[in-house]
Amino acid sequence: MTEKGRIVKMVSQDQEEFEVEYGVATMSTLIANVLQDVSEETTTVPIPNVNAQVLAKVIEYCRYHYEAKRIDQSEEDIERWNKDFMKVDNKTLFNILIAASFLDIADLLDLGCKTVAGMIKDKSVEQIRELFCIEGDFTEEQEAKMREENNWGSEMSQENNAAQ
Amino acid sequence: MEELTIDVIHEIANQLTRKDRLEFSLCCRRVFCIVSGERKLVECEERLRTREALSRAFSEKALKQPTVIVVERITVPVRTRRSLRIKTAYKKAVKAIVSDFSYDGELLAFSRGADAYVSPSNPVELFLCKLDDGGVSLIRRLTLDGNIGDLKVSRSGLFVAVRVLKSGDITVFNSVGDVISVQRTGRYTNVHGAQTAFTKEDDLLFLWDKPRSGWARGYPPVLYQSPPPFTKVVEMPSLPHAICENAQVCLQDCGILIFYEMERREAAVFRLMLTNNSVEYQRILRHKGVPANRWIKYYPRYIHEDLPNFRDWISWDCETLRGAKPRLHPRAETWFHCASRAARTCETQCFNLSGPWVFADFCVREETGWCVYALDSPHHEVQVAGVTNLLPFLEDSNPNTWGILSPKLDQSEEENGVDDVRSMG
Repeated sequence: MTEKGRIVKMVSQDQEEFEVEYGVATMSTLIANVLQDVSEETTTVPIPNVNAQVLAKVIEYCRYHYEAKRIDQSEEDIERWNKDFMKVDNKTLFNILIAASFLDIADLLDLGCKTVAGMIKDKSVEQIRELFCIEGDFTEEQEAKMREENNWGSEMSQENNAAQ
Repeated sequence: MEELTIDVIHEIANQLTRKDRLEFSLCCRRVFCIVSGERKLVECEERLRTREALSRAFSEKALKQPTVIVVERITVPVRTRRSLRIKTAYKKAVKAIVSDFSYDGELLAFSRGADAYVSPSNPVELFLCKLDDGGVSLIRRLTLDGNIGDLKVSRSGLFVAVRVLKSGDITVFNSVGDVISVQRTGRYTNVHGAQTAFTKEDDLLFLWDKPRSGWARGYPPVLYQSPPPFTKVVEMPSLPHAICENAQVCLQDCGILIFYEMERREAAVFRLMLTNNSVEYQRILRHKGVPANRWIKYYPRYIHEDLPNFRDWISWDCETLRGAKPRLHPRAETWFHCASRAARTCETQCFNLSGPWVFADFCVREETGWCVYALDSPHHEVQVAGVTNLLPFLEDSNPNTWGILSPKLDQSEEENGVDDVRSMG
């Protein structure tokens, strides 16, 4: 069987099956490695760490980017699509990040991390905690001390801003 | 944010400016540790958090008190010249090194004796012990000529030893240490990486590692199968060249898994399916980018921690090991890693063995919680083999309280000047 017509069945944590073209599936380095190592008759790849909802999103991403590359989609269109793709709730976003990390899809991981970084940008620690529902476990004194010990970061940042 | 892995948090932090990174890192202790580079600390904390789950995984039959036997301790004379000191220590230690051991169910077998490189003609001692709730008792102590390549205990109490410098003799013993079969392959007599395993049906499998150097390096790796009564070995065809690069054979429910690590920074797991007189193999996992640290390169009994992610595929068992070969990296930290299939968690438990101890080897039986291990000190001044129960071992991460007991293997131990090592750790 040629790789072109090869279909890979990805099975999510909750046993849902997704039929994906070989080229799309192998955007994941992990799956590419697995498929390289098994015989061509093997078509099913269990993804035990990713649930169906998240796996569907990941496949959507891979499918779009595979096609975009094939038809030479413009950078602007891809960026716009990426932006829309990342318009999800925080829980889904985090799950996509974890899946991208597990499946070793560097572009998706990068996109997800940039999205989270964009959400963090210019926010105070309290705002970040509120945004991501994080319970702070530092006392006020500890936080103040750490801020003092690490304030070189903000000073340098201010210097950089001034220089710019 | 709690559910994000360390790698992902690290990646997010990399996308931030310094100011934003500081705010982000102050969110909580975990993020702070990761962002500020104390990644190892977080890894440890997260593994320790799974303690409860892990403890549950071990059988309730497990003993509440750790029991450890010390096989050997050598006191090294202090000399002024370091090289002389090391040489002396090593020379003394090779006679006492626990070169291999195997434990399955109740029986523990281990060998100690010469390193083939150093003194191949030295006799090797084999110990067959019994483990039960009462502790450890010696069943038989045997002396064999030639070097032991590998030994294994089967579930039904047979144990086998492969002697690599005696024309590849495979000696099979019964549960009381009587020799029931000796087979001579007559090939690859200087290969050191021999591996043996018993299938559930008590078929003996026997793999010659592919030598990486020396006159035998042109030979292909060979897998033999020998069904009971072990009077005839059958050579299995079609083993791939790469399968035996520092192979480790490990028997699992779904077949034989061979873990190997290559010098090209790659580790892999194979599944072997045995049929009548043939073997099929399938590479089910490959891990690229294994750190090319010296001690991993030369001491490949290392299974990457990512393996548990594939537990559903390969019925992954509960042992991983990371340790330094003492002569190569004496100051390396040694961590005891342990994860459980039964705990249904991908996370591992780990303890740092403070001090210079390194694991020579270890194995653990999930059903009983018994763990058998060999510890080594940097220049082989002290070599310890022990058995302990993992449950209390895991509940107390302080190695000083492991509770070392006196050796009770044989009277002649005392005559050899062996003493207790309560001060260990």
